[in-house]
Amino acid sequence: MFKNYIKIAIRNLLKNKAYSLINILGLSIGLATSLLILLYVVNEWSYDLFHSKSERLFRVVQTMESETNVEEDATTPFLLGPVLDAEFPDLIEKSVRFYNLQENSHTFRNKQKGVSFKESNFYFVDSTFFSVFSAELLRGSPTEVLKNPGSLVISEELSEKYFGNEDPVGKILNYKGVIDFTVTGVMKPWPDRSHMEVDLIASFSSLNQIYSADQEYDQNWLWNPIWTYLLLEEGIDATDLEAQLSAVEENYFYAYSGWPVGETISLSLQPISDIHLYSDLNQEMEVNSSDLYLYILLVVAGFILIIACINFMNLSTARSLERSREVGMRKVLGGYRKQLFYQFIGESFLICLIAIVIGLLLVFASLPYFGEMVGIELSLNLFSHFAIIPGLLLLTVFVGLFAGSYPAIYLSSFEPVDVLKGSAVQGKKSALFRKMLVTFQFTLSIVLIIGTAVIYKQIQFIQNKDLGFDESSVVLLPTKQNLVAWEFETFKEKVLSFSQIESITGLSKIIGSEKQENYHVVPEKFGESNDELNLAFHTTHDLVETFDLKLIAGRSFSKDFATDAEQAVLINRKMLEKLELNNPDEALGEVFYFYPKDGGRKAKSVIGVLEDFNYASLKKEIEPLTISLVEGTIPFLGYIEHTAVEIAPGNPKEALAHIEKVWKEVNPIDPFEFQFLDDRLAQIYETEKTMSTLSLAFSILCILIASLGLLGLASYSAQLKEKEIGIRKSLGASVTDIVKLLSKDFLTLIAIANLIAWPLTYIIAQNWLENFPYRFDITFTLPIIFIGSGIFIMIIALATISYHALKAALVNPVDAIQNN
Amino acid sequence: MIKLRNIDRYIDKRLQRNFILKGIDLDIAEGDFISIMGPSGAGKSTLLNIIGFLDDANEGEYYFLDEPVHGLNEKQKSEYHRSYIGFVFQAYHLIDELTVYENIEMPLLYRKVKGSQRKSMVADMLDRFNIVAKKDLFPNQLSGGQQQLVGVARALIGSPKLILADEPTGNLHSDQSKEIMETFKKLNKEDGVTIIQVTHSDEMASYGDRIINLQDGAVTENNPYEEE
Repeated sequence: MFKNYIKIAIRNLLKNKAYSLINILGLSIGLATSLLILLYVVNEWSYDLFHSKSERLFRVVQTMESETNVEEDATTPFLLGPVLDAEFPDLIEKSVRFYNLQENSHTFRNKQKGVSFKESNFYFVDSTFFSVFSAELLRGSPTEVLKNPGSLVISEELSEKYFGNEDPVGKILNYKGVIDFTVTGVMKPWPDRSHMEVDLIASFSSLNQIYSADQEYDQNWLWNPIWTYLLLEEGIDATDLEAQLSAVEENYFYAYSGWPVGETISLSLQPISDIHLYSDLNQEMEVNSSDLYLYILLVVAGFILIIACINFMNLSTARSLERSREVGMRKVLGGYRKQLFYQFIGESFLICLIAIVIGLLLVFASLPYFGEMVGIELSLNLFSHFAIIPGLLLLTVFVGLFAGSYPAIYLSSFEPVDVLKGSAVQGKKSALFRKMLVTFQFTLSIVLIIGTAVIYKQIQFIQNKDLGFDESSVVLLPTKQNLVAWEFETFKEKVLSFSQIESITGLSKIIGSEKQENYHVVPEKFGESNDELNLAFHTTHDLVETFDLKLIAGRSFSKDFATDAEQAVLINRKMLEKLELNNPDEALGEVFYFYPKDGGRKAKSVIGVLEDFNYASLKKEIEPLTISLVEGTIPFLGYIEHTAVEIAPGNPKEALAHIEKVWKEVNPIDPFEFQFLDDRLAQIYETEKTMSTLSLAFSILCILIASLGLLGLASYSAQLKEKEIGIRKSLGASVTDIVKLLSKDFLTLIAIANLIAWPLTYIIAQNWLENFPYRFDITFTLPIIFIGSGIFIMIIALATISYHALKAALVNPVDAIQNN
Repeated sequence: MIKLRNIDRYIDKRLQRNFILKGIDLDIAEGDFISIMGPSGAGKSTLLNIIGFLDDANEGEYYFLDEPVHGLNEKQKSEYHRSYIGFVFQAYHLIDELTVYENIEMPLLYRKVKGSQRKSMVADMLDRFNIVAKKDLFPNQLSGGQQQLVGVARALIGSPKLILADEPTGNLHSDQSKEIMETFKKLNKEDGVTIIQVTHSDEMASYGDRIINLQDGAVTENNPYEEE
């Protein structure tokens, strides 16, 4: 019997090649898309699970709170790790600290070979590193490599970069001209699926060499530059430890002599596998992702699969007439309804099986492109996990059941007496259901198109928004802790000697980027005891010129006033509101107190007010801001983390060549690197851009699948109305009349789909846009997007239907009538 | 074998009740060869469908082999189809995707006959109707008469006690019709199979031994020729 079913199924597939192709292709594309998304989502979910002890691994994070400010940091003070080890020996097996000198760029040099590179994934770590994390050593022993001060473990890739084919172990790598590290081990590449990237690690004890002048560096409980990871003892619940952390807060943080009055601290633990998706604190090692987008993607995957399944349902039930006689005859010959149901379900399994095989081929073919789109290298090995193949089979069965059960129930319900008479069985119920399904399909497609348009529009809006400063011709140079910062005035003078260079300034943070810092800056007006934090940044002269900022009162920093560095401050318009002043001129002379790290207090008075500009990214509102000048001595020059150079419009190549030349003269240690400010700012919206590319791709697929289904249905309906068309034509109907006759029903459904999709997407779009303080005007733009998408989908549908409608309309009426 | 008592079959349309069959009383004994005749729309096919359990009467009683049919569920009806009744249709109703061999074999699959036995039964049938050479052809590769022979073979393979034929020769020319009728007659005489056919043709009706005339849903003449 089974053989008989298979035979019939295959012969049916071959007999109606066009339908089979539409069915199988639609399902394959749907399955392939869902599998790709699933692959991506599983990849995102499996971050940091490669550590064999991942379920016992936690990161300690802290929240500092004052009356006006909450600061949630991924980092903690130096001594927290050792203190926790000592206080809770029964709960904590080991702790590991990570420290990167609060810098993202580290220059290493192989003096022998004369090669130097900048590295961003460098950390000082405790020697417990290799017993806590699952990192494998190619050379060296895990217990020895980080034991001594000055030890350095590098990755395989870097070993090749710095030493070529030579054995690196025992060789020297110089760090920033400050320390000579001895390479003691070589690591296997750190897995991609981790919230951190690690290329080089040095023993934590090496820090004593770096801070040789200040051996008390680690005693500060207010300064928190350290990532602290804990490996809990087996069977210990993280909440048990968390409950006891208040003792540590009391005995160490609050007990610290420099602890600010009124400030509270609370420590908590994050499971390491949660960091990538659920942690968005200050000082994260890398930019983390968000699970929200994963859920959206999963929903989209579901949508696409549903649309593909609906095609299958629609085409199977629409074509029921062709199978009805077989059903009737089988019943007459003694087949139970149940047996017929199984037969049709079996056929849908078969189709799904073929579809999943083709779908897998599509996945393999598109994986590299998809990976590029989402910016992750994805791979699929069917045999890498025992559950993959059964999982795929389960998916096949599930899709087969979902897509096949309605047609199977419908087809097996035919009564022989009805179908064997030869009269058409066009159940009104099934036609209505089919219409609902088509409407549903197109509703989903329209939701996706509108979603894509909204995301695209918002990104475009953000990128074109006037930021209040000129980002187009500015080049950024990283100058944190390097010779260019120490010799800033010399560097500036030499760079400016070239005619193509318009202006140059030093910055503590990149203007317009996502990371900004709060400082303890208090307006005198609010009283001295106020411990409020305000956005503040440091610059050198010519900030206003380089970024074309707008001065609305007073003056900018000037070399004519030698006291500016010590006593002057610029504020923005937002700060006026905070000071409760209406007129910018009134603010001139207002005094702010600054509290530098080394203690003491500095009073600075306002010399100028700037028009508001988007100092932080557009994901944040503009906040009150103070800008002060970097003082010209060594510790303060450290504030010049970036140097911004404004280049005259035209060919930037010559100007860049000049800057590079000057850089090499001033700073022979660090390699020359640069980035255009607008490129740098565009990086902030990577996630949104990826989402927009993905949603574009998925809505195209969605429309493609839905159109395939429509093509099948249109062809069927043209076939069904062949006789009617023949009669109408012989009575004088024009080709347009016939096309209208055939398209009318479908276009009505699509119009209904639009009406359902619009309010739905309005709500979704509004919710999503609320994440952005700056967004395009939805009351005006959304209706345009709605109508545009509606027309777009109508045109696609009309084009799809017209193919068959025209074909039917152009048939000689006599042929059609005679055939019946 | 078949006992119909006061069978009504009607369709309700708004305020009107349209009777297709009204007050049918009929007794058919095992071994009968009956032809049902009458003008179009007289209810011939409906009567045949009711006899074959394909349709249900609205009123009246129907006993098949002394079992009341009006109480059977769908599954029980299927059991009767498998074991007792074979159908032959005017439009043959062969399954297009199956070969001659597979079409004939199908009822045996539903009766769960074992493979080897199935093979010999189908081979016998092909032999009997002289269509061995055609066994691997698909229905659309055969002439109408050949298709109907396959249809008859398919009806017979389950060794039914009753064959119901709805205008079996309606689409055939006279030579082919005669061949089918001869086959029916032989089955009736030699194997004692009860046959009920619906036909328009007096000639085809004459192969049977009893004629039932239907008009407007009622039996007007029971065996009109016998009186002549």
